[in-house]
Amino acid sequence: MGLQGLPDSDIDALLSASLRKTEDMTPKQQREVRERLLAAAHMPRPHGARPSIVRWMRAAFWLPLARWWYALLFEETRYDRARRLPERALANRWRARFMEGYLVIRPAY
Amino acid sequence: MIPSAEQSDAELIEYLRRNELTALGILFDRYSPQLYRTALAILHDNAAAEDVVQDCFLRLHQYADRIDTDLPLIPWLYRVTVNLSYTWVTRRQKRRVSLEALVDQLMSPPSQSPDQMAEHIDIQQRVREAVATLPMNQRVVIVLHYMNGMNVEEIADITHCPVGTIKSRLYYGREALRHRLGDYAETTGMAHGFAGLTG
Repeated sequence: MGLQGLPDSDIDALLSASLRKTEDMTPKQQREVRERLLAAAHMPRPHGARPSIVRWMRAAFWLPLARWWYALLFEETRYDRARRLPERALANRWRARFMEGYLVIRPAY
Repeated sequence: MIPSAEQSDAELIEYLRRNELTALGILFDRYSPQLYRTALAILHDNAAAEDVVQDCFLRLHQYADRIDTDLPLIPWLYRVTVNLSYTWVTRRQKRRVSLEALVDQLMSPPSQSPDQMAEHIDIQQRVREAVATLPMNQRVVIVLHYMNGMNVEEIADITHCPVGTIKSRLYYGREALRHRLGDYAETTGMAHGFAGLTG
């Protein structure tokens, strides 16, 4: 008989009994770790690195920069985009232009 | 005033905020054994468990200002221990075992005497090894529940997970252990020796 047929309570008891017998820290271990800990706690903690100029500029100016990009990409191109063909027509136009320009062998005039 | 072992956790943390390291030593003496056993059961590695406990108390020193002294300290310590164990396991997976460590391991004498190789010790060893093979999430829940005797609400608080998730991990962890230990039990007839172990 394996463990498959055992009730949960037996498995629980087995696991508890086994895990609770995990070995303790020996006094020597505890003393050593305590010494290491106190030595490390005595050491001065390093300050965080000063942010570089690039990070500082980005932190300070990211909002106006984002606004500028937005204006450049969307607001400044509104008129042009409104006058362009819709996307599905553009694809056909570009394909036709490419075929004519590069793939169709035409006699040189 | 000098911090003493009779003082409460909150008072010792107040000392710690004033950088009184004696208080750190007292808290270490008070809680390090249980944290070490938890870390050892999760990590299955003495040196790593020592490092985790040391780091845990260093964090306590570092973040003493942020700790809420109205709440009990021990769940916070368990939470840090579990999180550091997660970190340690993740890092271990990334780095390879050094050759020196491997040689040390091979050259070291066997830690168990023949007496300790008796059957019930062997069963416990098998159980601990089986626990060590579980996925990290299940392993943490199994150790906190079975070794430290915590209920699912306490584990959910420590691991910042919903109670249902903890119940699920506990169930699947236990079933995985039942399956893994079952294979061993069938080959050795281990199931007949449970009475002496669990009683």
